[in-house]
Amino acid sequence: MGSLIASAMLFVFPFAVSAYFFAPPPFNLRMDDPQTLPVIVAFVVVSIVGTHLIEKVRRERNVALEAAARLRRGAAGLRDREKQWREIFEHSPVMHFIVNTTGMVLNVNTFGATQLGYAPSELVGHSVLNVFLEDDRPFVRERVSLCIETVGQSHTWEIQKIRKDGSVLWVRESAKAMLGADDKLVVLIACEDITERKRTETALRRSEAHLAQAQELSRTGSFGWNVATGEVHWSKETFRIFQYDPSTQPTPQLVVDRTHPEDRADVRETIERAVPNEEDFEHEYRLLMPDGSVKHLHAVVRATRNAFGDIEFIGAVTDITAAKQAEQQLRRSEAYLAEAQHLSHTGSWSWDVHRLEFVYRSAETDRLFGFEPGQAVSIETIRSRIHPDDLPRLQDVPRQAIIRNGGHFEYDFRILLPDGAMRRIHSVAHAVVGSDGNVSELIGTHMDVTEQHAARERLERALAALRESEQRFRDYAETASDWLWETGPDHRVTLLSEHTSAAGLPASEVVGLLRWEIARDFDAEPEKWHQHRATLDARLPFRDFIYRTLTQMGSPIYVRTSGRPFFDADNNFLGYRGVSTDITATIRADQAERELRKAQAELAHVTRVTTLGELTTSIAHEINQPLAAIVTNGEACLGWLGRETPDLSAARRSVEWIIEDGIRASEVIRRIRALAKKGEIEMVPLDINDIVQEVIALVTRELVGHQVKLRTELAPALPLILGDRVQLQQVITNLVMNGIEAMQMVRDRPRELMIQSSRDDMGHVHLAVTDCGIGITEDDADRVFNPFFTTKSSGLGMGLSICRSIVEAHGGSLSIARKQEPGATFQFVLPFHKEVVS
Amino acid sequence: MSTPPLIAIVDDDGSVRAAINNLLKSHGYIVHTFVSAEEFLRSPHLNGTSCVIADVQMSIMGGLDLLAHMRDHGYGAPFIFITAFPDDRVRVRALSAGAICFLAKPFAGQHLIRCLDTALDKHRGGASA
Repeated sequence: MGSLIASAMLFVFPFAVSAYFFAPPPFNLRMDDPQTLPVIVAFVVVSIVGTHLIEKVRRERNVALEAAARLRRGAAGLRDREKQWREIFEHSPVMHFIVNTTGMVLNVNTFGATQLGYAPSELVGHSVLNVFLEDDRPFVRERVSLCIETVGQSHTWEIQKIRKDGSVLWVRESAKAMLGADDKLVVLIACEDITERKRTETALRRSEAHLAQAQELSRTGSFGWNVATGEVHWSKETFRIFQYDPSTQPTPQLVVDRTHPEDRADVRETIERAVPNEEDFEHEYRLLMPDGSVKHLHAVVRATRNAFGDIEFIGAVTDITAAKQAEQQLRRSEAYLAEAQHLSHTGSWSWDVHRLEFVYRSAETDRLFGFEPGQAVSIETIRSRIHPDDLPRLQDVPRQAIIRNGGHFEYDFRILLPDGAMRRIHSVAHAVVGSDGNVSELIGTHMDVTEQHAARERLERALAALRESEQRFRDYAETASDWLWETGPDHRVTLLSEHTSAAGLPASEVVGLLRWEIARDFDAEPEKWHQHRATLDARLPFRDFIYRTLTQMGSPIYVRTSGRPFFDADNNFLGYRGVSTDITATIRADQAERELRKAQAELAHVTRVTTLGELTTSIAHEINQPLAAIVTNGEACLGWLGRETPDLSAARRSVEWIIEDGIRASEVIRRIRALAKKGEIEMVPLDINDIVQEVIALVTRELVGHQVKLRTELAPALPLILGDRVQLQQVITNLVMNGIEAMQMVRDRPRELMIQSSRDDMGHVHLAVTDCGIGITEDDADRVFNPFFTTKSSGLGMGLSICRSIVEAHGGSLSIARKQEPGATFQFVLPFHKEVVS
Repeated sequence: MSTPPLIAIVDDDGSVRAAINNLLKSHGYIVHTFVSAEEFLRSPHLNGTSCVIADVQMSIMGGLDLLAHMRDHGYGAPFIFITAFPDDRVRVRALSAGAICFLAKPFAGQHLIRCLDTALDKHRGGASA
């Protein structure tokens, strides 16, 4: 209480002093100028007011003096009260400091000192700054200075004080400066312990900061909405999510404005339903941001009642765009994975080695095993799907994995489906080692390799077949007299099968050469080679190209070669491949054959002429007959004319007969000339029956002369054959003459010769000459067609041999059909003339 | 000459047969022609034939065989042989068998007429004797 009084006194005293010292002088009146009148008037007014004020100050001073007198009177009592106040000061539950203007502690109450862990004596006499943080000291100094500058004015601030043990004490300090008992200024400071409040505040701030951070991190904003007042509160994160300026006054309409147009109706409906029902709600919707991007939001809202009983919606809104995208991506990724697994027939799985069950199995794994998706499968079910032969091996897999303790491993097995189908599985897995260092799980893939397996088997079979085929062709090639060759795009030999050496052509000397460098007839037959090279230039296949070359030994050989071009996959010409054959023997044989034919033709002519000689009788007869008729008819003509009455009509008839017989004679001569002609062979379509008739005309006299009766059975309307008339006449004449000759010795039966013509089903004209003569012995039958074989004493033995050559040259064949006694049948067949056939 | 002489021509060659027939008719002879010896032998004119002109080479029965056959059967008609292939051996055989002439085709008409006249004279003489 003493200090209060002292304070009051100190407060009044300065006023009194100032009132005394600042009172103006009472009079000073002079007027030098009329214009100074307003000034004087103003001065008088001010003086009156001033006097009044002075009067008032004087009255107050008297009051103060009286009060001072009263104080002095009560000084004794004052000392008692001061003692009381000191007690109160000392034991107040508030920390009090009294410091001087330098900040030295003049006094501190015990409570305060104790609160700081000191004894009062430890603080008094020391700078008050000691109990502040180093960093706060300038602030404290500044505050004390402020108090001193504004004496009597109270200042309040919050600051930390440091206890002796270093711990912090938050205080709210109220201070003001005042004059002390010795008229020295002191600063009185009262400190309220606000540590608890500060801690709460700090915790709250931290909590708020955490919340804000958590909201930012979780992209979750919070909001409140008092429906009744329309008051809306948004957290910082909510502003950020909706991309509104934090200074904006939030309203429910802002939410609607930002909502994606497609979701707006839903959002509105959700809110409008929740508000009247006062119910919680939760929804997802999209925002369409000003930049056109889309955000996915998830909002959870609770309906609560506040202290005033108003409905308030409090909620959290989370930006789940990333999660949505991730979810979509995940879903897409899962779909891709499932699709990929399905396409590749690869299922993935995870197997718990202790519990013996799938921890995870993909849809494709289910499909491979024939399980329903999500079906719970027992180890027995799984085992029942494994091929019994593979089961022991498969059961050993986890053990192997455990032994190996991780790493990748592969194994194969077969799955038997309930419908009896079998799948071949190739599995790749690895063991997962748990925290205990033991294998806990196997993770792997099952790939359906049934198709690949089947394809591989097919391929292997095809390869085996191919190998066999290749070997077969190799065998063929190496055992054949042909040899194989290959040339490059420049037509130089690149490859020659090894056994070419059999033909005397060593591969080593031929490789790298052109065909026309190998050949020896290049200069002799330029046209042939020109054409061959044109074929090669056109990259056309060629067949049976024949050229002459020399063997290693220098002997000429003829080579027949065929080849075809080959190309790579891009249709680039790579060269030719082909086959060659040594046809020297064939060529020689052909040459021999030609020589033989030439000789035979010569012989045929000789024989023909010989036959003519043999036919002289017949020929003379044939010519003499018409000549005889001509001469006779000529003379008859003369006879008719020489009559007394010439018979002109008889004469005319005679002349006509002459003419007819003349023609007949010339026809006979023509036929004989043709037979004797050594001309070119002329192949023309012929009727074999006509030839037979011509032959009969030539041999009639022979038949008559040998008393042979000729019978003919000629099929009408035979197809034409293509042949040389004279040669075929010769063949038939020969057969007829042979027949006549064979019957020369026959006395006991009629000599009969039969000529038959017919057609067979094979497209041949058939002609047979049958005699009833001595026949042909079995031995002779084999030899009658041999040249120079004859049973006749006068024969050359060329007849049948030449006949056979002629028939064969006509594409037919000549044979003996019947050879037993009595008689023999010679027959030949000739093909129909093609034009007739077609 | 109460009955004109009857001439038989046996030849398998039609044109020769017709030509001789023509010649003899132009000289006023009465002629019968036959394709073969067999036809002649079967003919009713066989008996009244004054002369036979026959070809030597015919199928089945030639001229010489016909002559032999007729002589064997008592027919004495004179024979004139004609042939397109004169052979000395055949000529000798024919003449020795009693043929009047052996003519090689082609022959002169006059030659045949002379032979025929000789034959008819001989036949006439023979007949009168």
